[in-house]
Formats: sequence, structure tokens, C-alpha cells
Amino acid sequence: MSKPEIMVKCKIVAPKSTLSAVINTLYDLGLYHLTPHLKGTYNLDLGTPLAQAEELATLLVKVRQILARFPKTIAQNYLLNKFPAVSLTKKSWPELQRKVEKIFQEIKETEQKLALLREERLILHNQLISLSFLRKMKINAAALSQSQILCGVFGQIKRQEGLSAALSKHLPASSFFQEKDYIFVVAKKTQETELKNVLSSFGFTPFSWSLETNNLLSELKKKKELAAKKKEQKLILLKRLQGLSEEVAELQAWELEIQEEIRKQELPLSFAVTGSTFLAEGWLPQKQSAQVVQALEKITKNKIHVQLENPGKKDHPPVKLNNKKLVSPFEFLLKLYDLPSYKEIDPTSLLFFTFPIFFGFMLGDVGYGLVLAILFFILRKKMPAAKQMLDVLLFAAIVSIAFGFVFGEFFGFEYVGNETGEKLCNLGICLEKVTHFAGGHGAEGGQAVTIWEFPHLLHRASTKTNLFGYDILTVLIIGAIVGFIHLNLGLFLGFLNEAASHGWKHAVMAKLSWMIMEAGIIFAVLGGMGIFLPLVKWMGIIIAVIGVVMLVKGEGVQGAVEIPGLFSNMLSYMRLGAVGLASVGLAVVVNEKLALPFFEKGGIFIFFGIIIMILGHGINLLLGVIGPFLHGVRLHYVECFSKFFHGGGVEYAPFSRKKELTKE
Amino acid sequence: MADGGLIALGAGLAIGVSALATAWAEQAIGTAAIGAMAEKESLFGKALILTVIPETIVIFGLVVAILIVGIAG
Repeated sequence: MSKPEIMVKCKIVAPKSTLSAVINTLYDLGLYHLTPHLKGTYNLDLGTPLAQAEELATLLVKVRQILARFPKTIAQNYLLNKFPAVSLTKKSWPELQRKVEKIFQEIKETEQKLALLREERLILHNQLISLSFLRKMKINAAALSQSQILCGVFGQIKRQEGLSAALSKHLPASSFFQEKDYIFVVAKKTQETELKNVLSSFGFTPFSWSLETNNLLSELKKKKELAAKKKEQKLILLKRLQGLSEEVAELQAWELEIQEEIRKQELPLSFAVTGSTFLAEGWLPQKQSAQVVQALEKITKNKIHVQLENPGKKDHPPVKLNNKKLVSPFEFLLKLYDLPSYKEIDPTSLLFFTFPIFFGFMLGDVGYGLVLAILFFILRKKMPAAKQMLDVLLFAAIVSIAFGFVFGEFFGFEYVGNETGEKLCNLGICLEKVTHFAGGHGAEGGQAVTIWEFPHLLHRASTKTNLFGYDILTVLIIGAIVGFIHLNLGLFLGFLNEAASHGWKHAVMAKLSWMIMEAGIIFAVLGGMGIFLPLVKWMGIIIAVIGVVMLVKGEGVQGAVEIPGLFSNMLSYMRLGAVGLASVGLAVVVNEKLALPFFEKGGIFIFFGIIIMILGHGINLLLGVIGPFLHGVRLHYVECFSKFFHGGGVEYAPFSRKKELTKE
Repeated sequence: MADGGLIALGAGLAIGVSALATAWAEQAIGTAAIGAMAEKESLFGKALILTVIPETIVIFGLVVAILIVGIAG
């Protein structure tokens, strides 16, 4: 069991002129966990951002405006393929500004042109429609547009029902041509407003159509040529935008860089300042503190004061878990719950030992374990983001295989039939031959059935142990015993935690008292059963009472109230057996009740049998991951952790380059 | 044989009723947990744990059912 890494409090005081150098050094080292200064502490004010922060923020907004106009994939592909090492220096900074400004202007300009073109093309499109309509209906458009008496209206309508009735009712002197939802109405010029009113109630959109020439064909040709030209112009503009994509992709790299630079520039907001100096407070891992101090002194030419202190009683240092590489994936399970506080024992190692065992005990099947192990191994490669979780599950799956051998289970099968067994034996894999009698009582009436069992230590569903005169499933008893051990391990860790934080005396009273009480009860029960002398029973009772008294002294009445809780916790571990039984039960049902009848029928039914097997075991496998995982973590969090774990730690988050950037 | 039926009924009741109780408890916790997670996503771990706490009831139900069948039959 390890403790979180030892931290030292680190105060930095230096002249403001060194601010930028100090921040850059801290950023590059990536070790300093900064505690933001609260205004008024030590009667000092908050710092202000460095000079370029505002300018950078403006630039960032512009860069993001540009990036938002392009699909993300362009930039991502570029990032993946050829990431240019960009870095914001005094030299590259004005150049970048110019570049961004240039791209921005170019995009704006092109977009304006495109918008204009869109409008022009829309008008052209409408004109083309009206022209071809006029031509089709053989309307003398030129004459009509010059007429003093008549007027023509052309456009698109949304609703057609009742149109002709409405027109003949309100405008008896009108006539109209219609094709699909396009309509051309001719009416008296004096009635033009009324005509428009009638049409508007049918969702009318007018198109301009007036013409001077009557040569519709040549007019149509002209407009078509113009439309083609406009389309070409549009394509050219779009190509111009696309041509920018390479430069834009580079901006993606710059965006991250600018963001990081802004973080640096704004860091003084977490510092305390006087007229000409600044003060930063934070934490460093003790191991690397000397390195940081040295670097700071070097960069500021000793114009700096760095003070290192051990954490005081009221301090809450950040928590950096400190585990071996093999164990560290299990930090995932711990973080899912909570981080330990700085002074506590880090229970990751406990999770490493017991979680896979719990999971394996519950799943316990060679076939399921193998499938899951392969699945998690593949997913682990495919999903690097979930690597920690999949590592944990991979571990658990491998342990499940081991428990599968203990229980002799393979996809829920505990044995194979006589024929298969003999075939396997001929191949050199001899299973255990068992003959039992089915359908009758004992050897007399029943029919002899020979099966070949997988080697096993115990059968989950049938091996029983006699306890207090009752036959109880062995897996349930094992569960309770594991619970007893696990809970006492928790109590022991609690004892160590209490000893570290409140002293040995309190630790004995609050945590060891539980174990004394347990020992007393065990002696009392064994004495009562006559295994030991009757005297032992009374001794046990006395010891248990002493334990309870100590507990009440250590934890108050609350401790005494929790005594029954300890037993329900212990019984709760019976789920280790029970969840497994449910899983075996489902597998057996799939194999023997659902699939077997199909296999016995033979022929095409074998195919259905196989489908049922795949579906059934698929569901069971899914439940077999969710169930053991949830119950496995729950037994830790609820039953075991409550004996020692307080949590509430703050994660160690040093000021450094963001993680996704450093991966490149 | 009549006894066998009663034993099975007893075992069924033990697990059935306890499963109902679990479901009832979990629906209340689940609703609250989802609500809390909507506010703060990092509570997922704790929400998950809170939601499965009543599972103990049905596990006890299952254990009792198995014991009834085992001891009586």
C-alpha cells in the first residue's frame, strides 16, 4: 500500500520584471501546482495579465472565426499528417498576425462576392423560368409589357385549389395560364392591385418578366449563357476558398499554440502582487523540488526567493498517486469514486489485488473469460482514451479464465456427453468420466448416463458444504469468508489511517476494537458449539463486550449503531457467489433448455440452435461484464472503503502544456 | 410433492418480492442520480454506486431463495 507522493509547499517571491521568465520556466518544467491567490490574503492584490494577453485574445478570436468556416476534418488531417513545429516567439508573432489578417480579409472578400453572386443567380434563375414559360404559352410578352390597358403578372403559387374560382369572382375580365405551380394572369391595368391581393392569398411569389423584344428564343439563349458564366465565377470563388485550406489547417496548430500562450500570459491573475514584486504559492513534488528551485534561480540570475516548507496541519496538498506501472490502471477505479486525501493510504493496490479476484470469482468461466480477454485486448488498441479501464477489465477477464478452471466451466457447460468425451480422450484430452443414474431413485430404477466432466475444484451450482447441520452452497460460504477477510483488511487500513492522522490511541479504540469484538464473537460461537471448552464461550463474550466498550469510547454511540452493519456487510459479500450463480443459471438455460432441443432435432434446426447459442451467450456475456464490474466495485466502495477511506483529495494538476498537445 | 410446490413458491416469493423492493428503491435513487449528473458529470462514479446500493436487497433475496430450496429440498 502506498501513500500519495510527498509534496512541499513552495512560495516564490521575485521582482515583476522576471514574471515572464519565471512563468515560462514553470510552464516548461510542468511541476508546479499553483494555488490561486485570494484577494486580500496577506493584504495583497491580485496580479494583472502580461502585456500581450489582450492582443493574443483578439488574435485567437480571429483564428477561431476562420477555423469555424472550414470543416474540422481538413485541419485534423493536416495535423495528423504533417504537424509543423510551430512556436510563438517574438519573431514569428508579427508574421502570424499578418498572415491571419490576410487570410481573414481574403475569406471575407470572397464570401461577400459569393453572396452577391448568389443574389444575381437567383434573379437569373427566375428570369429563365419566366422566359421559358412565356415561350411555352406563346404569350406576346413584348406587346403586353407596352400595353396601356392590360397588365400581366407572373409568379409561383403555393395553393392551387379555388384559384380559378377566386379569379373569376373578383376579376371577371381576367384570364390566366398555368403550368404546375407557375401562373401567368392577364387583367385590366386598373385592376392590378386587386389582382395582386387575390393572388397573395394563394401564397404568390411574383417573378419579374417584362420584355422589350419579342424574340424570346434569343433572349433565353442570352440569359442561359449569362447563368453559365455566373456559375463558373462561383466555382472559381469556391476554389479560391479551398485553396486556403492548407493555410487554414496550419492555423489549427497555431490556435493551440496561442491558447497556451494566453494561459501563460494570464497566469499572474493567480499571483499576489505588490508595487514591484509578485508572490506565487503552490506545491511541488518533494523529489523534484530542488530541480525547480535551481532552474528558477538560474533564469532570474538569483533575483528570486523560493521558500520550501513541509505541509502544515491545516494545509491540503494536492494528491499525486504514486503507483507502479502494473497497478496504475486501477487508479481509474479509484478516481471513479474519489481521490484519497493527502494523508491517507492510497487503496489502488488493494483494488489491484481484490477487484480482479472478485470479478473473476463472479464470472468464472473459461469460455467467457477468453472471449472477453480477446475483446478487451482489441478494444484497448482501438480506443486509447479508455485504455486504463480496458486494462483493468483485461486483468479481470484473465482472472475469470483462472476461476473458470476452478469451477470447470466452459460457456456454462460443466461436462460433455459420452461420445464427445470419448472422442476428446482419443485426441489425448481426457476429461473426468462420471456415471450417474437419471430418472429413478439410486442405482435401481434409473438409467445409467455417462458424462465427461471438465476438471474442477468445485461446482458452483451444486457443491455444498454442511454448516450448522444445513447444506449450503459452498460459493456462498466462500463469499462470506472473503467478505470477512476483506472487511478486516479495510479495518486494518483504517487503523493505519487513524494512527497517522489521530494517533495510535484513537486508532486502537476506533478500528482495532472492531477486530477485538469479532474475535470475541468467533470464540463465543465456537465455544457454544462445543468445539472448545464451554469456558471459552464466556471468555469470548467478555472479549466481545470489551471490544464494544472500546468502540463506543472511540467512535461514540454511532459506532455501536454500526455493529449490525458489519454483519450485513459481511453477508453482502455472498453476492460473489450469488451473481455467479445467476450467470451459470442463464448459461445452462441457454445451453440445455433453449439450444439443445434444436440440436437434437438435427438438420436445419442445428443452424437455429447455433443462433440461439450466440444470442443467449452474447446477452449473458454482456450481463457478465456489467454485473461483476458493478458488484465488484460496489463491494469495494460501499463495504470496504467505508472502513477506512475518507477521500476528498484535490488532484495534482501542475501548470504545464496541456496533455492532448504533448501527445504529438 | 405438495411440499415441493410450497417450497418453490416460498423461494419465488423471496426473490420476487425483494427484487420489487430493489426496483422501487433504485428508481428513486436513479432519478436523483441522473439529476445530479446533469449538473455535474464527474459524479458518474458516485451516482453509479448509489444506484446499485439497493442491489443488496435482491442479492439477499436470491441467497435466501437458494437457502430455502437447499435446506428444505
